[in-house]
Order: sequence, then C-alpha cells, then structure tokens
Amino acid sequence: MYEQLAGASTIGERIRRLLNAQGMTLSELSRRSGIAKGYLWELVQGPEATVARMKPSAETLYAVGTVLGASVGDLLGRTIPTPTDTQRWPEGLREYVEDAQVPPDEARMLAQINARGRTPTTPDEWKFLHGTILMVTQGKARG
Amino acid sequence: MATHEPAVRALCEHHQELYPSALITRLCQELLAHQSTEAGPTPLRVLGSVRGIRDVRYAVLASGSECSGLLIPQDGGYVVVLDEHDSPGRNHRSLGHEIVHSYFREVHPGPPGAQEERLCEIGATELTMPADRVAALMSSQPEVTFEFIAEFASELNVSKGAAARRLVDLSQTPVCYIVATLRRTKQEEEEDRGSPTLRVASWACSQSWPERRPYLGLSIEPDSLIGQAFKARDSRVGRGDPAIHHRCGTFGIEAAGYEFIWRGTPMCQVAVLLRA
Repeated sequence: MYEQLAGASTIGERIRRLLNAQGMTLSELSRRSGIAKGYLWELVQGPEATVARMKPSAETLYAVGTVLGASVGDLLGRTIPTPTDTQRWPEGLREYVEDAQVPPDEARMLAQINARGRTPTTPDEWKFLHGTILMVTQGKARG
Repeated sequence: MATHEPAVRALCEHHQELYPSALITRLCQELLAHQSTEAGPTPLRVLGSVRGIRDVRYAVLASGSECSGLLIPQDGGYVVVLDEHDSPGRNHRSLGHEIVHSYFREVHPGPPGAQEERLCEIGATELTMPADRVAALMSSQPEVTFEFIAEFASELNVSKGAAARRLVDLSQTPVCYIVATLRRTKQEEEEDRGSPTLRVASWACSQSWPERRPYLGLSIEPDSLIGQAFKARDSRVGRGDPAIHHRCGTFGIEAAGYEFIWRGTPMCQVAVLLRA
C-alpha cells in the first residue's frame, strides 16, 4: 500500500493506482462502493481543476477506500510516520522477541502497539497478543 | 511547560499547544468536522479512516492481556482490533480511544504512558459524545435523569455510565452522579481484614454542584433509600439526606440498583443521581 501510493499527487491518481494494482474496473468500484460511476470517473480521470472543486466527503472516500483496502488518510496522501525506538521496548517484549526469535519487522510492530486497558508485561502475555495479531492481520478474525 | 510524558510533550510541541487536554479536545473537534453528524452515533470508522485506520477487526483480547482495544501499525497505516466479548458501546468507545492514540504515534514511538492513556480517554469522550451534540440534546432536556441518560446512551451508542458522567459534567444544573458497590476500604484491602460495605466506587458532578470534596470511598447507610435500591436491585426516587457518611444535605435522589456480568463475573452496583 505504502509503496503503491508513493509519489501520487492527487486523490484520483491514488485511486487509479489502487485500481490497477488490484485489477479492478471503475464499474466494479462503483458497484461495490455504492458511489456513482460518473462521479468516480470525474474523480479519477477528470481535469485537476475539476477534481479540486469536487472535494469528496470523508464518507465518500471511506466507501471507496473500504473497497480498495485503503484508509481515507491513504487516499488523501497523508503519510503516517511511525517512529521506532528500540531502547524503549518493554522488558517482557524484549524477552519474548529474543526467546521466540520474532522477525524484526513483527517485533517493531509489537513495540508500537497501543493497548486500551492493561498492556502486556510478561513474555507469555506478549506471545498471546502476537498470536492474536497474526490471526487478525492474516484475515482469520471477524472483520 | 509542565512535566509531561515524552509523547505528550512531543505532541504539544508539534501543535504548539501548552495544555495537553485542550489540545486533544481541539484535535478531536477538528476530526469530527470531517463528518458532522446530527443523529445517531459518531461515525468513528469514517473518522478513524481519516486518521489512517484501514480496518477494524474483532478478536478475543481479554483472556491474555485484559485489554479491550489495540492500535496496530501496518505498512504506513493502522489496523484496530477490538475485544469481541465487549459490548457494542464499549467497542465504540475503545475505537475512539485508539483513534486518539494515532495522534501520539505520529510524533513519538510507543509504548504509551499513563498520561497518554488519560488523554485518550478524554479524546474518546469528545469523539463518542461531542460537546455540541450534548449541548443540542440538553437544550430540550436540561435536567439529568436516568431516563434521559438511557435515551442519550442509546442515541450515541455509549454505555449508560459514560453517558451519565458526560451529561453531569456538562450540565448547567447542580447534579452529582455516584456509583456504589460492596467493597472494603483501601486500608482494609491492604491488611486483608473487615467485610465489604456499600461504598462509593466512582463519582462525577457538575460545575455548580455545591459540595467540592470527593465522595470516593465514602460508605452509604444500608437502610437508606440508596441502600434499599442496591439491596432490592430496583429503582427508587425520593428527597432527603442520601445517608452518605461524612456528607450531609437534602437532595433529590434517584437510585437504581442492578446486576451485570463483567468478564464472566456477576457484579452488583447502585447508580445514584443527586440533585440539589
């Protein structure tokens, strides 16, 4: 996603890239999002000045983004920096990552998680959470 | 600038704001402006998407970590996971809470500290119960009653407790909301002695409430109107002394005792509205 959208300067260009990447037509996007095809065509193919005037609502972009697996933020071109600082990793996580030899990108992801309620502290709690996240991100959880 | 956690300080510096709670409220109000709503719950999935949340999923979280929501960074965006055992109202609030975390993660790596968590709760309140929606609803119903709290909670898909605290907080009239349950004092807990009595577990009051001292932990007479509602698990209304120890006065009292299941454990509480 991040690489697919890199360098795209307009909402239309971002939608076009995502359509191409997924082999999806504008008609299919219209059918699945419930947004009129003519409106989408203008958004994707229209002259820049026209697109600038359209100012699609967050609700419209959400409907389009949901079909394309993108957020409204993605379509608006907002990059989200996720700073990392391995010195600040919780001890239980560090222990779990070392013992279980968790791949570096997954370990960084675990370190950046925000939990509402009690954050895991022991290696076993981090293991449970990691398993849950893998299940969710691999699409086995209820969406 | 006061002493803040690094993530809170970074966010304040980024937005050139001195007061963290004012900043979070402002950021949430700006986010709400993306999709104004006049009826029904705040469209948090749309607003979360504006903040880069690509998907909201449900899984069992509580048994391992006792947490109700996760914000997971993924490929320049986020996925939120909510506990599938939580109520829809709690899930809704948890999503609001995770959306607020996204502001902090833009400027500082995790893990979040206690101050950030408190600010996320302030933000979740603003997102799920926007001040202008509350003001509009209260313009036709200025007095906080349990009936109004239930209607408000249903309209905005929030828990009755969260609705009560928000309404009391923003009410122009003198009103106090108390939740009491059987518990020992902190000292009794530490020394593992004594038996539980009916005590205030949480409370909130409006700006115009005459009593400024905290109610937390104060015991309540078991034979009082509040104690009777707790014992009978029913609703009672009256006027008089609420029989809360170390506090006196005459108030309008509305008390509702009830049972509920919290993470598989049956619990009993009494919710109370005191009106001066």
